[in-house]
This record gives sequence, structure tokens and C-alpha cells, in this order.
Amino acid sequence: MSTSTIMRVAIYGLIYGLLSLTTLEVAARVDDFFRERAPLLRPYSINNLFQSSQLGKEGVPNAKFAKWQMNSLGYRGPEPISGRANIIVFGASESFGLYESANNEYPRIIEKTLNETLNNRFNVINIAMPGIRIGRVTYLDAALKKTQPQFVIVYPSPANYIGTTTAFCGQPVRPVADQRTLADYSRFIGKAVETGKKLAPEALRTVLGKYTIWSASRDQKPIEKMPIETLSAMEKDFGCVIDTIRAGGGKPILITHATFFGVTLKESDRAMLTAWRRFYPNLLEDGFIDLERRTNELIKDIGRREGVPVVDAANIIPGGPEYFADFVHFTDKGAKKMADLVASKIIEHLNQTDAGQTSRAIK
Amino acid sequence: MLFNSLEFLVGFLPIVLLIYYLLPHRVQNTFLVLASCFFYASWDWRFLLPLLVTTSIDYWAAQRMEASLVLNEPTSARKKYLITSIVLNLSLLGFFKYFNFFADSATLLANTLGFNIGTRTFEIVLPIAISFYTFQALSYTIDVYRGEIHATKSFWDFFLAVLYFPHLVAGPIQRAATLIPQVTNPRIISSEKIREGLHLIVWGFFKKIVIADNLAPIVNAAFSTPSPSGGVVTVGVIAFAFQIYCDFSGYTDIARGIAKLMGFEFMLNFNLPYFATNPADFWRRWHISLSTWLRDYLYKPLGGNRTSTIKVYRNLMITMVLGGLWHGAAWNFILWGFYHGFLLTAHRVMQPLLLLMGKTFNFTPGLWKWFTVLCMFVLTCYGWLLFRATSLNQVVEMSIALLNPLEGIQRDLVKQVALIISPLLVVQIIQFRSGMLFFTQAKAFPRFLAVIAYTLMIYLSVFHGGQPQAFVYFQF
Repeated sequence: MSTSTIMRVAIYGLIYGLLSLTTLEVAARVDDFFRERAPLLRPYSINNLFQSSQLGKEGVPNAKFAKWQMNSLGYRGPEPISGRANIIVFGASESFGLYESANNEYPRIIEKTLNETLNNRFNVINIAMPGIRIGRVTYLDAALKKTQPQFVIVYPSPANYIGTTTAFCGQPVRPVADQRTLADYSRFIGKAVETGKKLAPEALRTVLGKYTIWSASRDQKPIEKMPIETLSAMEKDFGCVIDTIRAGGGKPILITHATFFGVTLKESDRAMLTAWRRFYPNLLEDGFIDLERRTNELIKDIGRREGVPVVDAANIIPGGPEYFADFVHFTDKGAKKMADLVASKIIEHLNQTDAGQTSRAIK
Repeated sequence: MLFNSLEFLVGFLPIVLLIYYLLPHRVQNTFLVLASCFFYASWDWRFLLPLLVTTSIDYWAAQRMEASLVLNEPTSARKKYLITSIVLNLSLLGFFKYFNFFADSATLLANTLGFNIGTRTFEIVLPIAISFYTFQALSYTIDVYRGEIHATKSFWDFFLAVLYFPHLVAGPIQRAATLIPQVTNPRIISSEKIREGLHLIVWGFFKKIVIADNLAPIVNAAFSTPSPSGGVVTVGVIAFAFQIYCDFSGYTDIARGIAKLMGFEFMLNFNLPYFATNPADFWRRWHISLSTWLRDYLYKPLGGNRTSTIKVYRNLMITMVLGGLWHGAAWNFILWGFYHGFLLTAHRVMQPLLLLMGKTFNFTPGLWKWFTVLCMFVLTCYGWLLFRATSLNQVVEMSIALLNPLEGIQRDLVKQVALIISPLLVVQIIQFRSGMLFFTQAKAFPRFLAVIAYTLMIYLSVFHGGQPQAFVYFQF
């Protein structure tokens, strides 16, 4: 093959390659436009829903991506209806909702259940944000001021405390750095990454997961369990959260953290545990179970000490794929179970309050 | 391992191609035998046993016939080997595929007549592809018997010709005369073959994943609706016509494409079948490898056209009913074969009248042609109802519903079907008008447009495919 032929092939290859990539990107954008009314030119990804701010990170008012829709306050879900009392759900991705079908994340079901039972009295406002630690009280405080809730449901994600030994409460807040990647700017790459994740066989995912763990932990020996300082930091943050809620006039309700693994770990679930560890490679698998157990004990202990109602979801929601789409995120059925537990606790509390007020009035 | 599975696309196929390209010709053949065994055994390794028996019998019979020919023995000497081959092949096929069907049918008939014949059935696992490779192997011994080809000396060459994984499971049913020389001689892989192969693979996957798999739920819903309205049946049957076409022709295209990448040439299996103007034309365009097989090895030996009119009709009916039965051991396939036999016969009977009508409408030949295409499509669709139905009761129920074909028709469903099949219609019109099945080589397609078309096909296959379904013809 002559040099000129090679050059010609290379130039044509480059031109057609670029044409093909452009076609893929245009197709992805037109596809999003027709399917989801997504903007043709602006970026469109889950990161559109959040922005850096003085509160660290917060939701973008009225932003939309796929099944996720933010309201004008920048929280997931519909606009609160005036004249109703507010209930806030504060937590991380488990509460924000990832795998449930639209409007089946547990805060939405709590609202539906309460309003069916209590004659349309409540808005349930989902202020949860993926990756948030409950110690981010400035964010919570801003939400309390905006919504003045009657109840605040707190569902912590203990794994977000892995690698930390100091409380977040009281620390200065800095805007969180933008975490956008190429997949946020190229719709085609975004779709390809998501499809690749879905289609990749289990064996391949396990190998990649193990590689990620190995590569992240080769410079630092992973620890077997989280030190007591981590739990102390969490305890301090819980204290701040409860104080902030009470100062804002709300009633806190704590929830223990439920996982795919249920009360006792089955050997068959170890692959899922490894999949979880991929996100936090510096803690060994059994350390996650230990962290969950200790955190849930802590939550129950704080509840007793502070007189805060506790929903023991960790003990009640069965583990396994029926209720969990991955290690911690709910399926529709899991979200329903969670919502039923929380709604019952609120109704129980409201009944007690009504009974108390009646007996005080009689006295 | 299905063609549309990730393990085939990302694992098996690239590895096989890579190793294949690195090997010299004879080693390529050995490697392809091993790869094909692995491919077939991925369903169930036991399936290899009947395949080995079939090929061994046919190889032996062909060797004996060849020896007999060399020794100038009388035809009767060769005939006994041919009969042995045919009987053993069909016995194997009959046992695996039809034994329980005929045993059940005989019991039912006897019970209806008041007898208790006490037949028994077996738990038989039907080896995938047995109908395809039996016909393929039979064509070899028959061709050797007729002296049209010489028996191949190497068993492994013959074994590879039958077992070769792209066509093993659902055809095209290759003739020994065209395939064995491609096995024994070194193959040439040209850039044109690679281009055509890739075209067929991309287009085949598009038809299968985007069209057939997206139509499947609509068809399944229509055929599982109790007491469906005429509208439901109409949409369901039309959707099935396109589903089965895209499913089967998609498979064939992928098979032909993979074969081209390895330097093989497979015969064309579909040639715009829904553009057929009459039943005979349809069978020249639909599943060509089977229809020509039936023509050459069944219809012609029965006497074909060169006999009395009544016998021609009889031959047509026998050929089509057996062709229907080839698809599966069920009465609806027999009915479907009978229906097509009837269409072919009726068309022969009515041919003078149709010619006269054609001449009458000669001032608008285009209109007449499209009218006949439409009529044939409607007739074909009714055949698909017989083919897809799960019971004779359903055939009757749906046929009655079709007396009012638009009753209760759902516009959204019609729009959905139209949207799914629209790319196929556009491509087929280009193919029909340009006469080029490799439509991207048509004048209407400058190179840059072809790049865009392939890219869009890949995009839609990856992101808009239906729930993955097994290929319809795998069951046959």
C-alpha cells in the first residue's frame, strides 16, 4: 500500500469518524428532546439538578432530568400546596430516590398515605440530596426557614461518614466543587456509560469493582472497622441536627439505616457487599456491616436520650433484592415499606398529641 | 449463545474472528470446527450427538455412492445408500421433532373413534437446528447420488460445512455444492466482502433488535387477548408479519455478514418478500434456501410441473404441507402449509383471468402491480395468523374477528407499529426502486449519508432495542 493511499484512508477515516461521532451526539440530543423534552443545546444530566452554593451544594429550582423533577424551592417533588402543614425528609440518595419509578420514592408515598388518612393535611418536602451528610446543618437550617415544618424525618447514610473522624456540624461551609465529567457534556457518552453499566455481565462488573478497590487501596491499607471517633462525629452531628430542628419549631423523627443485607449478612450477599465497597475502598467489607450496626445502635440510643421517636427500619425492612435495588437504595416495594413505617410513626405521634391535648383540656 | 447476546457479540465473535485471521487455511477449518462445536454446545453439549450421527451417516453414504460411481455399478447400488441416508436422517428428525406430535394425534383420533390404543410419549429435548442441518446434510447425499457433486474426502470438511456456526442454527440452508468448495479451498477476504459483511451485520441487528423485538410485545398482547376485536387482530397480524420478517431476515443477514467476514458466501434467503405480486413470486422471495430446497428435492422428484394439471396441484399441496410441517410439529403449521399450497394452486387456476385483468389495467401498469402487491400482502398476513396462532380455536376466533377488521382498532397502537416499521419501509422502497439490496450502495446514498445511516442504525439498536427475544426460527 502506497503512502498516498494510507494518507487517503487515514483522512477519510478521520472525517467519517468525526461525522459518525457528530451523528451519535445529535441523535442522542434529538432523542432526549422527543422523549423527555430535554433542551437540545444545554447540558442534560443528573448533575443539572444540583449546583454549588454558599450552602455547599443545593438543588436547582425547577430543574429536570429524566424522572427527577425539582420544585421551585430546589427540592425533589411537586410544589408544596399552601394551607397544608409541612414535613421535611432529610437524607441522602436513599431518600432522594434513585431506582424507584417516578413519584414512588418514599417521601412521595408518605405524603400520599398521610393525606389519604388525614384528609390532605400535609406536604412532604424531600430536601434529600445524594451524598449529603446529616451534619450539613446549614443546608437543613435554610430548608427549615423556608418551609417551617411540623416534622423532620432524618434518614442518615452512615457510609457518607467513612474516612472522617470530625463532625461536620459547626465547620465552615464551602461551595462543593463541580463534579461534571465528559458524560455531562456529551449526551451520547452519558447514555453509553449508563447502557454499559446495565449491559455489563455480573462477572465483568465484579472484576472491575475488585480492580477499583485494589487500585484505590494499594497506597493505603484498608481498615477493618471505623474508629470510635467516626461514631462520635456522627453523634455530635445528630445532636446538632436535633437542636436545629427543635430551634426551627419542628419535631425530629430518626430512622435507622436499612440495607440490602438485612439483620444478618448472608454469604451469598458478599458480592453485593463488595459492590458497595467499590465506592468506599478504604473500609473492608465486614466494616460496613459493623458501621451499620453501630450507627443504628447510636440512633436508637440518641432517640432514647433525646426523647426523639425512632423508626427502626433496619430491623423491620427485610433485606434482599425485593426491597433493595442495590446495597442501600430502595425498589418501589422497599420505598413503600419504608413510607408505611414512617407514616405510621407520624400518625401514631399525631394521635398521641391529640389525646394529650384532649386530656390536658379535660384536666 | 444467541447472536444478539453480549457474550456472542463482545466475547465469542471477536475472539473467533481474531484467531481465524491469524491462522493458515487448513488450521482455520479445524479452528472453525472447534468454535462451532463450542457455539452449539453452549446450549447443550448433548445436541452434538445427533449432529455427529447425521453427518457420519451422510459422509459414509456419500463415500459409498462415490465409490459405486467410480466402479460403474448400476444406479440401484447407489440408491440403497441414498435410501439409508434419507431414512436414517428423517427417522432421527422424526423422532426428535415429530414423535410426540404424531403419538398424541393418533391417541386423540383413536379416543375420538372410541378406541384406546395406549400410545406413549417421551420427554424429548429437541436439539436446536435439527431441521436445518438435516436438510442441509440430505442435500449433500442427494447431490452425490445424482452425480451433481463429488463426495468430499475429508469428514471434517463435511462436518464443518454442516456445523459452521453462522448458518447452523437457523440457516440459510446451504447446498453442499456451493459450501463444500468454500470449505476445501482457501478463502479470499476482500475489502468489499468485509464492507458487505459489516453492512449485513449492522442492518441485520437493526431489523432484529429495533423492529422485531419492539414489535414482539404488541404481537404477544394481540395473540394473548381473549376474544380479540377485528382491530386488535388486524394490528397484531400485520405487526407479526413484520416481526417475523425482520427477525428471520435479520438473523440471516447477520449470518451472511459473519460468513462474509470469514470469506464465505451464503445464499440470499430473502428478497423483498412483501413486494411479491403472487404466491409463486412470494416463495421465490421468502426463505429462499428452504423453498428452493423443497423445489429441488421434493417438488421436482414428485413430478413438478411436468405432469398432468391435477398432479401439479397435488405436488404443490404435498410440498407446501410438508414445508409447513418442517417448521414444527403442530397442526397450525400444517394448516399454514396447506393454506400456501392452496394459494399456489388457486393462483395457477386463476392465472388466465389475472393475465386478462392485468391487460385490462395495462394503461396503469404501476397501479395494477401495487394492487397485486397489496393483495398478496393481505393474503400473506392471513397466513401469518395461521402460523402464529397457538390453537385451532384461536385461528377460528381470530378469523371471525377479521370479518370486521377495523372494529375496536386502537389508533395509538397503529401509530406505534407504523413508527417501528417506518425505517424498514423506507429502506425497502430504496432497495426495490434501485434494485440494490445493499441499499447504501444505491445512488441515493452518497458515502457520507451511508456513514450517517449506519451510525443511526447502531444508535437505535443500542438505545432503542426492544426487550431481547430469542430468534423466532430457532425453535425450528
